[in-house]
Amino acid sequence: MRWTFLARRLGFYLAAAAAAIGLNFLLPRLMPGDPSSAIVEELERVSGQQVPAETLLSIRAIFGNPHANLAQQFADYLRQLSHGDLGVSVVNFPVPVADLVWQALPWTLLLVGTTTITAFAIGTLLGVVAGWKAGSRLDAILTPFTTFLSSVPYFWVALLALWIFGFVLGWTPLSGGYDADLPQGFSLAYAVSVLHHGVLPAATIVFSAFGGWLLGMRNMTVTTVREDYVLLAQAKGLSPKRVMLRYAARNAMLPSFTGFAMALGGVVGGALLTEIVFSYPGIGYLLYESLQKRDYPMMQGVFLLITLAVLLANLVADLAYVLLDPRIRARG
Amino acid sequence: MRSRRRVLAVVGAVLLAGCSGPAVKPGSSGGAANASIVYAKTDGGTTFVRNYNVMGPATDKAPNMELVYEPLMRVDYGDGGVLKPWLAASWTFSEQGKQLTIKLRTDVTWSDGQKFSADDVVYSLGLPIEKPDFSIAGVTYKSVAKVDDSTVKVVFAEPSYATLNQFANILLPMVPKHIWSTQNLNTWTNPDPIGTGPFTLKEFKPQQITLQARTDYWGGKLPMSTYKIIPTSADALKAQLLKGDIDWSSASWPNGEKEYVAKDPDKHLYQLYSNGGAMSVLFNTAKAPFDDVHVRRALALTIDRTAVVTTLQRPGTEAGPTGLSDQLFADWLDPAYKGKVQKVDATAAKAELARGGWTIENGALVKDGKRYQPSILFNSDWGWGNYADILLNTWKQTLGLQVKGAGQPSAGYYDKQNLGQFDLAAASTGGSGVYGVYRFLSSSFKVPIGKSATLNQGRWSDPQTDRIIAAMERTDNVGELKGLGRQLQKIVVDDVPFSPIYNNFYFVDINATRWTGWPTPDNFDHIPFVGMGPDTILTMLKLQRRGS
Repeated sequence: MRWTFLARRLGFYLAAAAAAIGLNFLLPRLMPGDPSSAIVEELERVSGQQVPAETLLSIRAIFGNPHANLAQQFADYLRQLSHGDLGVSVVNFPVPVADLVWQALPWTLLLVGTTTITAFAIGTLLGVVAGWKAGSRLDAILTPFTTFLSSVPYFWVALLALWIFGFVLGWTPLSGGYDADLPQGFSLAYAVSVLHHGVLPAATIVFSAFGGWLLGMRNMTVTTVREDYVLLAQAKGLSPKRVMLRYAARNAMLPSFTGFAMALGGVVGGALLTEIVFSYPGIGYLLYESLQKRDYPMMQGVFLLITLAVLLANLVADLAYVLLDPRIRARG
Repeated sequence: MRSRRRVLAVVGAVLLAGCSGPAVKPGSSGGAANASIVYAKTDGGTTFVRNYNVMGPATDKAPNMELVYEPLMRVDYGDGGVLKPWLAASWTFSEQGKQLTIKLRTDVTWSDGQKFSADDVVYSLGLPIEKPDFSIAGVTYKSVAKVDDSTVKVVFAEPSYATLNQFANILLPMVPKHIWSTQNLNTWTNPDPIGTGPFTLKEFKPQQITLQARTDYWGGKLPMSTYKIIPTSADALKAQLLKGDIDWSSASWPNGEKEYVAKDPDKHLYQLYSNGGAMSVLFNTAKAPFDDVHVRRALALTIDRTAVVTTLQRPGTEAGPTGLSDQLFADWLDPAYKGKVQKVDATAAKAELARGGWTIENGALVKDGKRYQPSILFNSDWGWGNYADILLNTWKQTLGLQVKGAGQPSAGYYDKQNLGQFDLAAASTGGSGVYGVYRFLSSSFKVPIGKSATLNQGRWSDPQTDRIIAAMERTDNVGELKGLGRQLQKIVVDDVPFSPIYNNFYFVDINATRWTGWPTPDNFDHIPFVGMGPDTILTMLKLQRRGS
């Protein structure tokens, strides 16, 4: 029973991944404008000179002609992918996209990964407590406060934090992801500088994100508390803590958990605003730049990574559901 | 945008209340031996890419490659944009401007110790011809040949006195033949660049590049030992400048005089240098109603330039009617147009419309029973919406004309502009030298609407303009060029192919706590703007460590 369930889910995810690769190939080609003329325009803007027609032709020769046969382009694309080759970045010619992605990915995973987990943990925990005793003093303070928090634009929070903690108090650096005067590598000093540079961006993300988890969890807990099985558990005389965590929270968490899986998958997309404000070396800016400059290979590389990460996260969530929710196991 | 303004206001208050002159980071104190200068780049993203394939078609190369690779000439922006020697010591035209003989400096070496010679120049100038995809500087010559070790000959198809500035383009730098000719330029990222410039690459990290000053640079000895480039955001930059974490940057700072300079006028420098360009309204002269000079004049007469620069928080930067800035073209401007800014003149504008037989009915231009409701194309990525609104409002108030705003992100903006799919466009105009500013008006760049034009997007076509531009290409006599330049100014003012709104500038932010000797806009013979190549180098050569 469990194995057919697993096989069916895996099949679905494989199909989804195939569709994602297809869409990933197609979508940038449906956008207006083509990258070779974008390069020519940028070159003309930079040089203030007219670029000869031959340049356009040879740029197309290097990066592929967007007007070529679509099937042919797709076949080329798949052949490249099967070699793990994401192509050459247009705006950074001749630097491979994979190099750019690998340079940015660890920073993004570190910052956005840890903050997503932290925000989820804090928000969910506080949400259970607030929802368990809805109307209590804690709930009366926490809930309106987080509603307010989640309506404050992130950009504002980040800038203000930078000014107060970075400039006025001078506790944290004003930009960058590490102390560039230190040699990069596994040394204590370097690790400390990474933490020192990361703490403020991380704090702003957690600060802006945990409210959403809290509110969702609180509201779900409020409804779950009134369910019969919770009452039954209480009637059985189980300890309130056990009822709250094992009975109410475990069920209330299911929707939050789906959201969490999605958020984890989205981690590789980076955090653009954070990266802009704190000059953090992550993948968000890479994606932003590739979109702006119609850098197809870079766009596709990052999109592919995000799609696959989201799919993987969903798969893991699906499997975890089996453990969390007995009803799924029963239905198989 | 709005929330950003609010933040700045709060921040300003915090600054005024909380801190009386933030302490300057001690940095690397001590002798000149470890003296470093720090430049913060705000427009390069959050990381840099180690790509010194400087002639390749990448648009985002490693920053400040122009401190390693140098061009043959430099544009003197302090002097109307004329060309001055750099790696070239001198040059002469012959064959009525179709042949250029360039004499090279003989005291230049590559940073690996090899001598810079005519072979390198022939190779570098020849690359764009042999590999058209490397022709990013848009060269116009047909061939290059070596005459002797320090002389090269460049041949053009047309008289080309006026196109000399291609040799000052930082996108056409001199590269060492002995290294470059052995590489596959389509895959090589040139990670360890060898150039003639004053710096070599010492260390590359995605968030900090350290360049090492050469001790054998032909141009002289630099006062600093290293030059560091770090990426930052425009908002963090302000804090970093105030704190003294960085020495130098190039970002525009609306209200910079109050928020920065006023706090320490001696050390906090915020400077503007005209770059010879302007933000203008471009008329699509290939279609009605803007093929009619009366309509163009009427609209140009009712642009509130002062309101736009006030919104920009850049007082005094309104463009004159010629589009040539007073700061740069003092000797070239017709005295009649000097220091002149067009004021909003509703009466004159209405008279112009009447002269052309136009009326305005229900917000539309009407002539012979035909109604035209124009729209203005602008780049929404540049935040130009605010300024377009000022234009729309003034036209409505003074003429009763309702122009529609058509904002587009960069991609769509360029497409529409180049294809001629607009009535009015808010566009950048300008170039180096009078010829450079006006060259785009030549009808040789004109293509039909629907076909992509890279210059002359307004599809201006005027035999008189063409004659003057051609004459400028056929002479290097300064007196004659000035005369021709004035004729072009008159055409621009009277026939209005485009109407300038405000001048564009190089913005320079300096914290002179560690380094002094910076040029100022009232006294400069080179611009202290990073990215200008030779000008940046000249600036650095003249700096002094404060207190030494």
